[in-house]
Amino acid sequence: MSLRHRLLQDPYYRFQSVAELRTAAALGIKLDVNRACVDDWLRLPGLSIHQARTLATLSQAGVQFHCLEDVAAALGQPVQRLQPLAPILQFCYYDDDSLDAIQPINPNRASQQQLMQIPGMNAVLVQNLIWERQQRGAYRNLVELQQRLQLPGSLIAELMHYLRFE
Amino acid sequence: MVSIGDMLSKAKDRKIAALLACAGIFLPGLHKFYLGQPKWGVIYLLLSWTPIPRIASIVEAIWYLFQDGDEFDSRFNPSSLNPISGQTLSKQGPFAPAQVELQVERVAEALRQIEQLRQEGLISEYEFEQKRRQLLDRIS
Repeated sequence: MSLRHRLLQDPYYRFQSVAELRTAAALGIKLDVNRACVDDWLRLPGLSIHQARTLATLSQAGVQFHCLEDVAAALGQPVQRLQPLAPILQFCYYDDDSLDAIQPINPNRASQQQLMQIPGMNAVLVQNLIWERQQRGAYRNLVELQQRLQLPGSLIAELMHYLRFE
Repeated sequence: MVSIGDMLSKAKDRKIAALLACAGIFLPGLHKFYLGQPKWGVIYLLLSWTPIPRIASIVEAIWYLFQDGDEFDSRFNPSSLNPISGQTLSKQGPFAPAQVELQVERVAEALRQIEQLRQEGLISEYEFEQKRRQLLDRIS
């Protein structure tokens, strides 16, 4: 299989060198810095799992990267080291206050007020959620939340857009 | 009866290889075909009018028998290596239930270990899934 074919077919393909990364960039493949998950970051040559996790967690927490300098600062590295990766990185601006952008919250840390703002939530449910969280620890994922609080599927379908577990 | 195709697709056995190499006194090259090196097998056959392949066969027979089982596997059964412990997973074919059970147990243990690594954040979701599929494919 040729490199070109692999680059275009495999969205998880990990670039073995900066040369491959340049080829990918030339083919129009981009890595959206502010939407990249751990596996997206790991496609870049030389990036460690810890660095990938740092970047993905920061952007989930609402940190916006506007340029290569921001990424370098987050990794605690000089910009020159990241310069070779620049061709593939795409810095898109996502407006937090945009009306169609949902800012998901972590149900394990959110306050009562924050939870109440989620559409579909009511006071009793919020109370149950917080009580259960205090009694039996953090929710690991949506399925666990659903089972522990015994929520109907339709409600979960509504809530899941507003919740994010870390 | 075990067909030749079955024999070739199964994990290579040290003793069978040595036996075929000994048979090389009469017809050299059989063990090379068995071990998945057909080019060498043809060379041995072409040279069979000289004593060279016969001597080589005997030397190899002795070598197969006296070398370590793991060393043999790492050379001729590369796919049977367990990525985590480095131990060999399959030495026998699908006809030995106890072996299969052992294999499943080892794969299960390896799966638990990589799940642990995933939870600790040392491997990503994608890496976890790739490894999981590879491990499951090892169960014959």
